[in-house]
Order: sequence, then structure tokens, then C-alpha cells
Amino acid sequence: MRSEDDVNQAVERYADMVQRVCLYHLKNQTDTEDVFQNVFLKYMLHEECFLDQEHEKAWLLRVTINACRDYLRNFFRRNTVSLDVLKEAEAEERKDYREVLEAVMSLPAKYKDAIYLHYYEGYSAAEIGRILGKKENTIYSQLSRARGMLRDKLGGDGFDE
Amino acid sequence: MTNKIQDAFDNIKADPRLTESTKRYLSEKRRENPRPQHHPVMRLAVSAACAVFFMIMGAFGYSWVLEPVSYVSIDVNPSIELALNRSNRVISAAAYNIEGEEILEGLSLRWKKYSEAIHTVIESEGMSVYLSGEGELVLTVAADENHREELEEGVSRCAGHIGHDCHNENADLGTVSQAHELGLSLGKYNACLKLLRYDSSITMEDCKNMSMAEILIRLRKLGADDVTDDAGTDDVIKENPIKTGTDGSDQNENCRNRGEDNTPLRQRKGHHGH
Repeated sequence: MRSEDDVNQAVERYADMVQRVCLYHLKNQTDTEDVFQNVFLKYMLHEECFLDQEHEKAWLLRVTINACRDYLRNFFRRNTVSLDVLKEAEAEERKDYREVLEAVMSLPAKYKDAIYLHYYEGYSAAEIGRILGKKENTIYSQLSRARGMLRDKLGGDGFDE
Repeated sequence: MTNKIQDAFDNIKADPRLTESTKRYLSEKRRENPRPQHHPVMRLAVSAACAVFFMIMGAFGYSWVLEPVSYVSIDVNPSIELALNRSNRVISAAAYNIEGEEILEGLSLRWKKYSEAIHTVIESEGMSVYLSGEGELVLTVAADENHREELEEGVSRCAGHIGHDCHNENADLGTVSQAHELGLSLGKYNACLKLLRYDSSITMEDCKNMSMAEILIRLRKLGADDVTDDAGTDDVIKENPIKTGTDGSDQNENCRNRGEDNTPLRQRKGHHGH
């Protein structure tokens, strides 16, 4: 079990990242809180050492994505998920950001991960492949399709890379 | 648009209340389930203990499955010996002459129950040549105390069911290694020992070069058909001595079931199949 200091530092360092991944998967603040806590519980119980901070971050991303998918697989959760997250955040966010977020959230889960990891976290297709356990070419293909969908939803250019 | 995605996600922040409640939640979990902080030396010790455990289990598994504890020798003139594990299954089959090698070629005996293996050998095409005439089949058993009774009775039953002139012998487990040192099967070595006790003019080297049939014929000529002894003793008890011809023509007689005799089990002759 990791020490309390280690865990608290990780919570501070990765809270926003875990929150984002949970939110675009679960679209629900209550479920997000459940998964958020479980991710850090897994971190606390994970005894293996990380090679560096990047390794630790990639591990947390993978665990968070898997935790969200597991959560959504649950029949009752899947059928009671609400789209309240944007309403909750509406007061705080500008309209254009909300549009982009809505467009990203409406993508299939596998495309959402690729888009988030590439455009926000700045990972290459090869790195995303390692985190998600998929081939690099698959990630390229997912990114390309996701860009096409975003272009359709949001219009305009800027999704060509 | 890349910037828009970044900006959009930048707006998502974890609520400070959530991070604080998570810290509290984890702290409570830690108190509920205070798993010991394993010292590296302790981990090493546990790993070593596991390794030793698996080695012991492996050795135990080996001794249970692959260690020979009993032997059944099948001798006509071909000499074949089956090594059995604690489950009385064949773990190896060895030929002690060229004829035996020819018979074993193409036979798959490993892991078969001893009785099934005996039948497979006896009913093989190669063996039929030796059993079609006057060849006599001798099944010799050497087993440890835990398996002796079962094997001796089982082989005796086998001998009874086989449709050839045959009988079974029981030998001391200690004679197995002596037989192998001389390059003989247990059954032939057992027959040689018997012949040497009856005819002091014959040496073990002479006996090695004789066929099994020749040894049996000589034994009958010497009236050694019903012999009760333990290896290394010279006490001979003859019961119902059978008059034998020089051509071995009374072999069927020799194969009569002598279950009623009171000779010790270690050397009691079994019965035959007619």
C-alpha cells in the first residue's frame, strides 16, 4: 500500500485529468465521483514502483479509462446515465467550449479516448496505442474517423492533423 | 480547433471538495484495511518460501508420477520389462534382447495400466510368433510392500486370462538392480538364479546366453518346477513334483493353477490360461 503522502500528492497532481476522463465517459457527476475515488483507491493499493512520472500518468489514464468502461458496462448504470454534466457546468462554461465538449462527448467511447489523449494530453498515436493496448494504425484510424465526425458536427477546418 | 479542444477540456477541473473527500475516503480505507507494508527482505523470504514449496511439490509430483516403484517382466524368449509408478501405470518399457526390441517397436505402453500393457504386449503381432508354438510365457513381478499384494494378484489374474502357456513369478525388488547390472530382465534373472541353485555347474554367464525356454526346460529336468524360496536361500520345498519330458511337452501341465498350494506368496506360481 502506498503511503498517505504519496496518495495525497497523486490526488492533487492528477485530479483534473481523472475528472476529465471520467466526465467525458460518464457524463454524470455522481458516477464520476464514484469512479474518481475508485481510481485513486486502486492507485493506493498498487504497490509496484513507477519508472517515472510519465509512467505513473499513463498508468492512471489506463486505469481511469478501464474503470469508466467497466462502470458503463453495468446494466443499471448504463440505463440510468443522464446527460446532466453539461447542465451542471453550464453556468461556468462558455458556449463555444460547451459545443466542443458536447461534440467530443457524443463520439463513440473509443474515439473519445483517442481525441482526448491526442489533442489534450498530447500523446502520439504510438503512445496512445500503448496506453489503450491497441495497434498504432488502429489509433491513426480512430483519430481520422473522430476528426471527420467532429468536422461534421462543428463544421470548419482545423481537424486535419 | 485543436486549441478549442484544449480550452474546452481545460475548463473541466476537479472540484476541490471532491479531491478533499477522496483523500478522506482513502484515509478511511487505509484505516479499515491496514495492509502491512512489506519489507523487501520479507518479500524475498516469501518468494523463496514459495519457490521451495513448489520445488517440494514438483519433487513429490515427480516421485508420484515418474519414479518406478514396481516392475513386471514379460519373458518368453523376448524379454520385456515394464517399470510402474505408484499408480501401477507404465512409465517405461525396456527390451532386454533384440526380439524384445522388435516387439516394443510401434507399441505405445506409457501410462497404460499394467494389466492393459501386459495384454498389449502379449497380443502384439510380434509376440504371436513366439507364443504360437511351445513358447512359455513367464510374468515376473517385483514390487514394494505397498503394491506387492495388488500387483502379484493382478498379474496372476492376467496370467490366468492369457490364452497361452504361462505362469507368474514373484521376485524380490532388490533383484531388479542386480538383473539390470547384468543386462537381464527381472524375469530372466529370476529364472537364472533358480537354475544356478539347482545346477552348480552352470554359471550366470552361461545362463545369460540361454533362451528363456532353455532355462525353463533345464529347470524342469532338474525337477525345479515347484520351488519355494527367497532369493539367496537354498531351502527348497518340492510339492507335487511333475515328471517332465526332455522336450518340454508337459508345459501345459506346468501351467496348472496351483492356487491351493501353501507356498509363500513371494514365490507362488500362478495359473495359466486354458
